[in-house]
Amino acid sequence: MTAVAREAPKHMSSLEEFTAELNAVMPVVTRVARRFAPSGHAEDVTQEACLAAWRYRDRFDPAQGSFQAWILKIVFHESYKAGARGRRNGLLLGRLTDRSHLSRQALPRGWDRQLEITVARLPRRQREVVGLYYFVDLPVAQVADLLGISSGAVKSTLADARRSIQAHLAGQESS
Amino acid sequence: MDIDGRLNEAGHLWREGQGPALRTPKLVTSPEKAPPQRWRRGLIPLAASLAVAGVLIGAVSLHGTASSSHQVPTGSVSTSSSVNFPPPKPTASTSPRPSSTVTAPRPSNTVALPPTAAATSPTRVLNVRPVDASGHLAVGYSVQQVASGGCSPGSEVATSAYRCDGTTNHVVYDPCWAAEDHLPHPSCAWAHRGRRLRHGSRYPGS
Repeated sequence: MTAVAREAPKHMSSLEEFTAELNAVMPVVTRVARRFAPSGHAEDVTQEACLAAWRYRDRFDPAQGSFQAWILKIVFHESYKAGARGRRNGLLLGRLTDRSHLSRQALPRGWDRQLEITVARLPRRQREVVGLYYFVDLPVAQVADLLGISSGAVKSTLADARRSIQAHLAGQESS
Repeated sequence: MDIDGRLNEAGHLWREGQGPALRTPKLVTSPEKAPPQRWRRGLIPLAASLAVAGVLIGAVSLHGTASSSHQVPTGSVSTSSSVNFPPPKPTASTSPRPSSTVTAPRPSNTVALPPTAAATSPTRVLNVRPVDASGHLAVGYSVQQVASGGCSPGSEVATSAYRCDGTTNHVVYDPCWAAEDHLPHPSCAWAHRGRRLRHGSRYPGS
């Protein structure tokens, strides 16, 4: 877990300053969008999130957390909004909201298909925690901040998720 | 490998397979651009009003100038120019027939005001369209007398018009316009009342 929370920006009054802060967190923003947005919508979600962040930049309070945590919450929210839009429109895409990483375009070499499918079948909270901790590579504290839960809850959710995955994989291998 | 190790490896492979991060979108602030657009939109009705006023003023001044400075016999027909007129062609002969005199006014597409007016104000350009695109006399124009004559392309005073002469009374009619609804008769006039020439064949350009 190498990601480190950035210090909150001191000034974001100008577009240039805001863009500079955004540039610094774009790698992790991209990962969250690609992990949680509907397949093929990561770019749109990122754009919507950045526009929303610029529009409501006065609501950012450095005392409550880092700029990265703040923008990631927006990206996370926009990702679920995009999925809900898809479901409302009756698109199959929307039904795959939480499984965007299963898209064939994003399959890496040596991909553990069985593990990914098992993760995709976890309950939503466990899936989010696993996705943010293992795949987006956020530390426990930032996962907790992003999801609005305590660090202890993140750890226990991770433990529950690992047990579920192990049980599921063991059942598959035995059958 | 335990589950934690498999998840760590899967996460690493997933990140590796994602490629470069997305570029920061260009944020364009629109509120600064809105006022000029609203300002431009507000000019549209103003421009339309000015155009209508210009046409009305032009029509009034044209009618006043024509009725005061040109002798147009009572009962004559007036027609005026059409921008989309057929191009002039060789003149056709006409059957000699006396007709009442028509003083060819100096009308055309372009009209210069009298010297007194011109000295005090710049030249105004007035567009006259006595014949519509289909060749019919425009609303407000009428034929009251018919004369005989012949036409040749090239009016002295108007583009896309004809220069005609009465075959018996040697009166020059200029400008004249083709009126398709009365073939082969061109209509010559300046005011709203004028004459129509009897033409031996289709007039030039028709």
